[in-house]
Amino acid sequence: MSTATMDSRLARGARSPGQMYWQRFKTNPMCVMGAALVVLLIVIAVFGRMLAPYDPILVNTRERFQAPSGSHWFGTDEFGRDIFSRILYGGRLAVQIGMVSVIVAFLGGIVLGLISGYYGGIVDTVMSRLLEIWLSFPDILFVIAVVAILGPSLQTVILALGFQSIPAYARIVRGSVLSARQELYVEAAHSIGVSNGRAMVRHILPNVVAPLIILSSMRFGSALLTGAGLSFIGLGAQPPTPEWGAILSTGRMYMYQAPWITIFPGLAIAIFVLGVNMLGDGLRDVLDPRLTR
Amino acid sequence: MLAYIIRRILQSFIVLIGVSIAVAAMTEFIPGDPAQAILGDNASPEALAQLREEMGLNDPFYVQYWRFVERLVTEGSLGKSIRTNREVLTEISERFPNTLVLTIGAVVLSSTIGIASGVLAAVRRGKPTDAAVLIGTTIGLSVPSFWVALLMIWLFSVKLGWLPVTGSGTWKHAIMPIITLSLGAVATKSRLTRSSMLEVLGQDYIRTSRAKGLAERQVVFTHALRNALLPVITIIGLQFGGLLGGAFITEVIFSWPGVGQLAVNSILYRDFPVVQGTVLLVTVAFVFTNLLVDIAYAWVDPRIRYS
Repeated sequence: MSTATMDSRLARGARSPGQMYWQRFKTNPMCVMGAALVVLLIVIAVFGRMLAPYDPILVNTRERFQAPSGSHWFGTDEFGRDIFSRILYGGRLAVQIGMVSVIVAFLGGIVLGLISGYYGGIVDTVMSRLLEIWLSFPDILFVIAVVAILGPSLQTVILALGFQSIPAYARIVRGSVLSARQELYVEAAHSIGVSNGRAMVRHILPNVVAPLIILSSMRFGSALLTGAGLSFIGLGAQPPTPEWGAILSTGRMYMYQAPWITIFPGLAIAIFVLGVNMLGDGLRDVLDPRLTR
Repeated sequence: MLAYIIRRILQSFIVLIGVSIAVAAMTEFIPGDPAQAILGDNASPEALAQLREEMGLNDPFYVQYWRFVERLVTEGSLGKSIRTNREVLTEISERFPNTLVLTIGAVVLSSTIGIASGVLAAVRRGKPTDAAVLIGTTIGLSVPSFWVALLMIWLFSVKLGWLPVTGSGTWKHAIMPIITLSLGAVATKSRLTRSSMLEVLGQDYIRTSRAKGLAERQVVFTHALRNALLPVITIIGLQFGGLLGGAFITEVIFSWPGVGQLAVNSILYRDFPVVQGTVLLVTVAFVFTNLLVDIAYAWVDPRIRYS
């Protein structure tokens, strides 16, 4: 058989990993539903400001505590502000909380993990101990400590959420690097004169992308929840910022007369975290079939 | 076993030294003048000078850290609260039992429901029960617990009048905070129990016990569950430590006088010594529970000791 016919056979029969993943993605209902919700969230984040019928911050005392109606779909709050518009504006903040914190953790984790795993020895020992200390602060406490230092604000919370997740990323990267370093193809790359940096980025990093994507989707959701929670108790976004957790915290004071201030932002958080989590669960099945139930 | 325990204790000790350095260094990271940040813009120069003196802010960090450790070891003191002028340790220890009540309640409740639903889902794999548990846990991990707390207050306190809105004192006060804290923990444990059970149910010794004619109930509960619970126990330990320090939001919603509420109030009042004290003690509790969990784990699973 000539090489040409074999090539064409391979092209017909075998599919690229991308095609394979896409096939699994399409047929996974969790993935598709989760992705749809995430796309909706991104649309709101990008176009929410154009779609909002009212100014989210403008006070209009004549319209205070309006129940949901045709002109105010989700009702109004104690300053007569339209809850629907505030939620649309808050979408961008929600995406920011998730995205920025995940990007910070992703980049920080990759750098620390690559260095620790690749160089090994004393570098690895020292960094592993430091990561252990970092991880020994229970989840939310680390964020709380950073807020205590820098003062309550949404930016502080977002950065703290990112830094808090760095050790989790670094550990995954370190573990993968340690095992990949033993592989023949890395040794081969070295023997033909590939530099350390290039070996790390070109040959080792691709191995850790799948677990990092899965971790990121989970962290995105939990960052959204924690960020909203901290805004809710006054440590994150400050009034009149239309962050969803912050809207809930004013709603709490008017639960009796205007429950809609509480109901809708909570629903918004729940629906989008649900979307992110479903996408995350689905992606785990798609990218790592060994874990499939 | 003894060697393993000693090694783990030494490791934890090193971690605690690192944690104490990090906590003591918190004031170093305050942007600008820490005394100004704590007392506010209207503070008099005398008050600022006095606070700097009291907190030792004029000294280099290693001197500050040494004093911090010395005071803690010799006087058992973490300094005084700026707001109440009482010992930080007294403030915290007064509130600690309240947080412990919520933590234990939440661990018991979430373990019971989480393990039961996880076992059920594993045994009925692929059936509607399994799907229901999967949907339930996905929702449980996504819904903000503080929102559920508000909805519970609205339903059970405002509409039905069954439970008190906030505060503490009777067992009725603890019901809603415990449920709120349990929400996420139930989902995590349920999923872990399910996957762990599925793994164990596929083992040869389970097939053997079925083959020798044991009742399914006995196979599931005596043979499978006991082994499947090992990783779940680790998570329970981790959650216990995490909940001890993670009840911030819940305690604030229900005005529950615990450590979390103290920490949040102290941040808002810029009562820095109390914030440092809570961060330190909660982390110590967390590290300590992790240590106990690891030792317990090594005791039931000897493979751990040698890895």
